[in-house]
Amino acid sequence: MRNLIRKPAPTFGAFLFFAALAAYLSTVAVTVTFWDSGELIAAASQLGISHQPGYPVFCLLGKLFSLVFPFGNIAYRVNLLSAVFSAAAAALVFAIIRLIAGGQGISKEALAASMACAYAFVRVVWSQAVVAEVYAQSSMALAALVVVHVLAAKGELSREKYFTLTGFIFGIGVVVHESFVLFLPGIAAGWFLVYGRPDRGLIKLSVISCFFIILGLSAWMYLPVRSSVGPSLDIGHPDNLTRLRHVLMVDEYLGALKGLPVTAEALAAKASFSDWRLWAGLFACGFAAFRLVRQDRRLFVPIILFALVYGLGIATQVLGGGKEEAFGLERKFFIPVFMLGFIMLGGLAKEALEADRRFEWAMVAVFAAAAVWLFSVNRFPDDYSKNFIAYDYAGNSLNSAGERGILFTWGDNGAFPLWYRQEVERYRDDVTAIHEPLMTYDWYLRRINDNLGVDMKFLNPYFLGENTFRIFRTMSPSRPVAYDYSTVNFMKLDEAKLKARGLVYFEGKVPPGDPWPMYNFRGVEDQSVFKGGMELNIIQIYEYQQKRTGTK
Amino acid sequence: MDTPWAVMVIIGFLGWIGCTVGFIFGAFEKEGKFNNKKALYWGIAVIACYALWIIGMMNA
Repeated sequence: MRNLIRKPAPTFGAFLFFAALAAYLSTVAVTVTFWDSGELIAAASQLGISHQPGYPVFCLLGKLFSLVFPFGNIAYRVNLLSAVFSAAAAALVFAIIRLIAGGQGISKEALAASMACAYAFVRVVWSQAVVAEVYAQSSMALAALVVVHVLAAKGELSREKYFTLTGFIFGIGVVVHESFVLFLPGIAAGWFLVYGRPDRGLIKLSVISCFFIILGLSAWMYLPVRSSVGPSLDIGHPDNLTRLRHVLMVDEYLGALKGLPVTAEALAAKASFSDWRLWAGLFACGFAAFRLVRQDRRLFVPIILFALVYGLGIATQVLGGGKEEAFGLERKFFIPVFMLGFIMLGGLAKEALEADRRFEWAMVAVFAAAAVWLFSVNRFPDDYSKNFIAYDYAGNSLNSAGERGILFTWGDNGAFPLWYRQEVERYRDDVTAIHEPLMTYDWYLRRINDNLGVDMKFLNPYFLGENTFRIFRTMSPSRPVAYDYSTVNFMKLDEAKLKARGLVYFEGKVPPGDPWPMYNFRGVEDQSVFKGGMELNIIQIYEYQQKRTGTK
Repeated sequence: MDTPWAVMVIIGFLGWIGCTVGFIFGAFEKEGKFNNKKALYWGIAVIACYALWIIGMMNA
């Protein structure tokens, strides 16, 4: 207690970090989950290359966590990376709100802690803190960027340190996740608002900070260097400049720039202008921005620009065109907007308290209640501690393929958990898994050619059916050839000409025996395991295949 | 995967990031003042860690 009174900030900060970490650790995934998790863990374990843009920082930090922690399987250790970084980001949000609010006193520390706690338990933040994903590191990089900006705006950082630190964090942040590039306008605004005296020194500093941006971006060196070594997970094989450009999505990003400036049509494709909630939200945000800019222009204009440019950029550009991509569909991309929103709430709370300090503890109570409410409603849907559905589905698919089988896969969820089991656990690595969508790339076709000795059609790599048939024709005399459920559906293969066995469909020779008794279904009928959209899809596949094979 | 080289990769990566931050805080001591001596120490450390990172990646 004495420590709390004498040094409230470190005590509250440490408390917040450990409280968020405890919540995340109680729900962290014990193994691989759906979507990118399996691929990212497999890539991290072998310092390989994940899907575009390769995610070098994740792979390096994931490898660190897989080496440092002596307990749990590799997937669990890499999942811890997200938990630790998300908890650290929440602690930095506390530090930022505290810096913005200024002054000292337990009530102010408690207010900042309760706001940061509420941020930590927001559904989308929590969901990315318990699985192997890149958004926890991205949040951490953004929080670090805002800390540096706030310290500079409060006059606690020299302009040399401000320019170079923001440049370096920006460079590393872009390597963590390329959406970080959307923070550049806010950084530039900060440079010129906080220390912007138009002199020769400013130009010199801008050039020096560009060097630090390039140094941060040079973490991308991981991609060509590792690709040239040839890890088995080497998506895009970026060992030359052409493929590196493709992996970094340079052309896609430049294409997206053609959509700038954001037009009313682009916005209309994403949101309904007749919805009163949109206007209420815009009015509230506009009013809040007006109050914050009036309060401290140098401090808040860059923060508002971070949120505005990032939010609009993600909503209108990165998520692509088309009305089907509604606001909030890819919620995980919006974690920075939630973080910046809580930081701006901290600024508004400061203004309210300066007007009348009587409400200080009432405000603490409101945000603490919000944190408790968010904790209680989000704990179950973000609890992956007993979720083995992706892990078991991958194992069941591999066990369907027969000894030394060739198994064609299609979607992320059919392939990535399977890659984890084969690449990391060496489970059923007698089965050769071929991912159909990658058969549109020459480097992948060449790899199949090298591994299986199949004469692939290189001139037209988009001819999926032709190359799939060539693999079948070459391999089927000696090895069983199977297609998973998603491949049959997406390739529109004729089920009547295939023989269903367990979860997969065979063309030609079918291995003997019934695979269903070998399958694991942990958590499928357990009501204490939350079933998201993907888990429900897998359960439907199980039911369909059971009927299809006459097992049920 | 060669684990000792993988450890070198991690040390090199965290090293050059940490040393760059060290360079910024050491070299840009005060507003308008550049500390050449500290810049040299931290600069060498950045280059050494960066080289370790690259060599480690080539061998891991």
